[in-house]
Amino acid sequence: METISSPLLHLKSDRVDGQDIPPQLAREWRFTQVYRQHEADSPARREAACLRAQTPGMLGAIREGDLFAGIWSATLVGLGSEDSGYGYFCHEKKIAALRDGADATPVLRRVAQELIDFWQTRSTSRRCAAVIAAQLSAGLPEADDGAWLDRAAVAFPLYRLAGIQLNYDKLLRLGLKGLREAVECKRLESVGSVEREDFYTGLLAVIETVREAILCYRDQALALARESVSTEQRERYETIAATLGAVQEDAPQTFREAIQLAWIYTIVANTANFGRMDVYLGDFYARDVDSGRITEEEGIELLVGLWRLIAVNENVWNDRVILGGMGRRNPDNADRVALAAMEAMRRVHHLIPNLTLRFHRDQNPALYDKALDVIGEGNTHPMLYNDDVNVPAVAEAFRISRERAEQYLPFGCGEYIIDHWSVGTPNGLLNLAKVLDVTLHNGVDSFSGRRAGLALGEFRDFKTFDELFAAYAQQVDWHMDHLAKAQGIVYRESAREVTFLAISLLFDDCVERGLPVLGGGAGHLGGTMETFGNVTTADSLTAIKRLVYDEKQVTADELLSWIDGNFSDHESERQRLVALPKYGNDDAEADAMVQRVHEQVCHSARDRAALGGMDSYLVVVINNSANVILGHTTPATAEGRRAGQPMSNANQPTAGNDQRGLACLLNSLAKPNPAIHAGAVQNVKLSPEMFTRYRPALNGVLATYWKRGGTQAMLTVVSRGMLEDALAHPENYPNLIVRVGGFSAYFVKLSPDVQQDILRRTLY
Amino acid sequence: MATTESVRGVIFDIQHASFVDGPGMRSTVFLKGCPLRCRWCHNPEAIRPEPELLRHRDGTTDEWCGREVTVAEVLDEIAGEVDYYAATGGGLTISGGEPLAQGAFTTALLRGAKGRGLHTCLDTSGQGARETLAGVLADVDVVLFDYKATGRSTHRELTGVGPEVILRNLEFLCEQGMDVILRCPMVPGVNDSREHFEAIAQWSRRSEIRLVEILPYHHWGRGKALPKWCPDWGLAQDSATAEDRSHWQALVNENGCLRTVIR
Repeated sequence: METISSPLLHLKSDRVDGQDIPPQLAREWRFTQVYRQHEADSPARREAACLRAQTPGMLGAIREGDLFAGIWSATLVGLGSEDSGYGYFCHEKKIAALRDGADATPVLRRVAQELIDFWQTRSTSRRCAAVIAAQLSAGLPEADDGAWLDRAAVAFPLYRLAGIQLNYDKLLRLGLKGLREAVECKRLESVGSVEREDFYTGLLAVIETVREAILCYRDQALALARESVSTEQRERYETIAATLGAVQEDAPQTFREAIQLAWIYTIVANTANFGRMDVYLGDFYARDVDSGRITEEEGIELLVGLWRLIAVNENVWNDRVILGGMGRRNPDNADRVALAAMEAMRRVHHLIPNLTLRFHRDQNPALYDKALDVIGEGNTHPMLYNDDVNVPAVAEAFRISRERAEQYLPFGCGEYIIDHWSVGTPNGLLNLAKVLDVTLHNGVDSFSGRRAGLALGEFRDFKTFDELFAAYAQQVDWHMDHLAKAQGIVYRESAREVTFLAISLLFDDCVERGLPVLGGGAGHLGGTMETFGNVTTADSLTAIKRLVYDEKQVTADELLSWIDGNFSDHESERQRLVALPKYGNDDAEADAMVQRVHEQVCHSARDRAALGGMDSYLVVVINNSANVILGHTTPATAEGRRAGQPMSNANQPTAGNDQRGLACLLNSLAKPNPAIHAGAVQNVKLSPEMFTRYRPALNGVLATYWKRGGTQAMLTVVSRGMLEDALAHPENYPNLIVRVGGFSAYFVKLSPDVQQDILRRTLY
Repeated sequence: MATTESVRGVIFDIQHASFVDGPGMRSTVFLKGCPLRCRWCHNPEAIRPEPELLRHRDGTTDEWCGREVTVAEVLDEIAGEVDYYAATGGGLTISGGEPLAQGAFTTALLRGAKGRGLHTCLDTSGQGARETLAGVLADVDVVLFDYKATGRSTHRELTGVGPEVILRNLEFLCEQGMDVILRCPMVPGVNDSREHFEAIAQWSRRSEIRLVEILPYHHWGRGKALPKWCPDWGLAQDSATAEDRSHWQALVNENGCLRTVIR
């Protein structure tokens, strides 16, 4: 789908030293001035001022053909939660690039430098990173934001508030007026507590900001209507204007109004996930269709219109829309929207929104069938989630009630969060293959030569496999200590500066408690961390156990010399390692090791929630092409992988290692315990024939997988030879979508090493 | 049961989770040994009955093909998949090579599979002893019967044997009321004659034949490692094209083939 950039609605000229601020940084400059003016204010007051200042500049103009108003336009300095940047953010590298550009004017250079200098000590991620660097540098030597992309370490902190899901139901039920009344009421009760009063005042400012955004767009829509050259065009703009007018104060009454209000709020809040859309839109949709206000076809077209707007920013890692599942208050109406949403996805055929179908035994089977129809046409959506397994697993993993667990939502690349009640952003990542490397090298990272763990002895010192595994587990725990503490630091330091007002307004129980989401407001303060190379590590341990300890064919020193030398002059030895059992083939030995590695790291995290002052701290086994990126700095591994090569992806066999057919693969995938983590994902590459000629058999295969405990599946449909042909003739495949991990991408736009990793995956 | 499951045979592969060798998801056991010498054979490593060394086309590495297994070993290897078979109407397929060439093993494997409640398919060229064939039928749910060429001399020329035994066995299976899927490998310009399609049409009218599958020739086997005794096996020609397929579809229509699909 084509995305058209949108001109900004509000770009007034500012001046510095008598000269105009260059337009490239005008919004950033203005935002910074407002921040500066309010620096001494309370966090909520400062943030309210910043949000009001930033919002008009972020609104992209309505485009020809849009069905709704609202396009989010990124800035380089501002206030966000995740996509644009974290908290008060400043994209230094991009600003530096403007500064250093050949055509930069002196005033542009000066403004750019001033912005960089100003935010150096003030951006939220910088503040967090400084504390982590001061307190946790032994385990997290690379604390800078984004360090994981190009530096070598075993573990990294991340700075973001990812996967936030707003209470859209509340927004649509109350409308801005109702929200205002509710907050006013709480504000009056809070007189006497300056902090609470400021917080509630800030929440009221959010409502005003949303209202201003609505009015600003309404003015634009009316102007466009006046300038329209055709009746049809004029009517379309008038409809947009009327819809905006209807929701500027009052709660929405129609499907169209509900979508419009939810969408504008999302832009102002700068969140990127849409929660249980079938639930919160279901009643509007059913009412409008049943009363004849819209036809089903018009309903689908409205969703297509929304999908197109969501797609503008190509935020492929987010933009989840959840359909189906247990715990919906209005399943019949929600089902109708779910079917329309999948049909809209089929028509749009795009990377986003990341449509997700939760299903269970007692759900209307039409939803699941429709999902497979859409996937079978070459879409990578919806992703499929099995509630019969996941709901009890989430309850146990998070230690929450089943009722709460029914509101679990996958986001990002596969992490779970509880709908507008828990935060659980992954703010750390751990490369397990490097933990094993450190274990085999007495606490030293053999890639960097740097100490990166405990000195527990050389490989040859471990007399039994259990001794080796215990040492590995101790190294995991040591890194987990650092990561859990780092997550606590990110939450605490952020809470000092940022109240995330627009999130807090629609997040349980912030309004009730009068506290911001990270400052005690969230019902459940969870944390998560991403592990990578899990299967690479387990397969390596299988090889080590077999060759060095069980069969004693090779000494520890010999094996170490092969991998330390990256198998140069040891190709036949490498082949021996490659031939040993691997995860993904329903092999008892290999799969048991994956389970052992999985249990160890999941419990390691789950036992450390208190270290970060959190209600839960859980592993997520996801992927975002980090298996490839982190692979670059990971030395050779004992399962036969060469240095620098990709590692395994999430809960999947290393690409191409699954060689015993689909049933054996699925059996392996269903083995790791789902009740001790916050999400694990798996991709399966299927041929189109599976959805046509073999569809009944495919249904049976998937049903068996779900029955055996399969938690989820992300299916990519490509035919044999198609990916190879796309590499040779990319011009013929502009629309070929593949699933990389938790997200999808146009195959021809991926980096060559990620393309190869996908190519190597077994096609069923 | 213990004795049945201890019978030994030589196989060269087990294809797990196949969707192309009978209904549903199946595992296909490929037995070694075949009396035919089809010119388009893409499994020449299946011809000799005993395990042997294969040579890669680039001449660099050799690998063993074929292993001796018991019935129990085969059934244990697929035990983790049986609930997928049940959910898809699938099961175990015995193929080859020619399964009837290892009569005792095929009989025991089919009996053993039935003993474990599996749906079974026998994939045969029909070139085998009548007694062996008759002896296994009680344990076979569906027969996948290859029908490769029409005309005595053509058949001999293309497959190395005359059609007599094969046709008599096919007739026998129909008389026994077996559920038969006729599978016709089709090689452009080699066996796709008008007479062949006429004969296929005649067979397709038999009620016992529930389906006729035309299997277009493909050259994917070209890069395979080969036994040392047949360094240049196989046809040099390319896979069937879209034109070939539409030509065959026309012949299917003209001759009034029933329940016939081109895969």
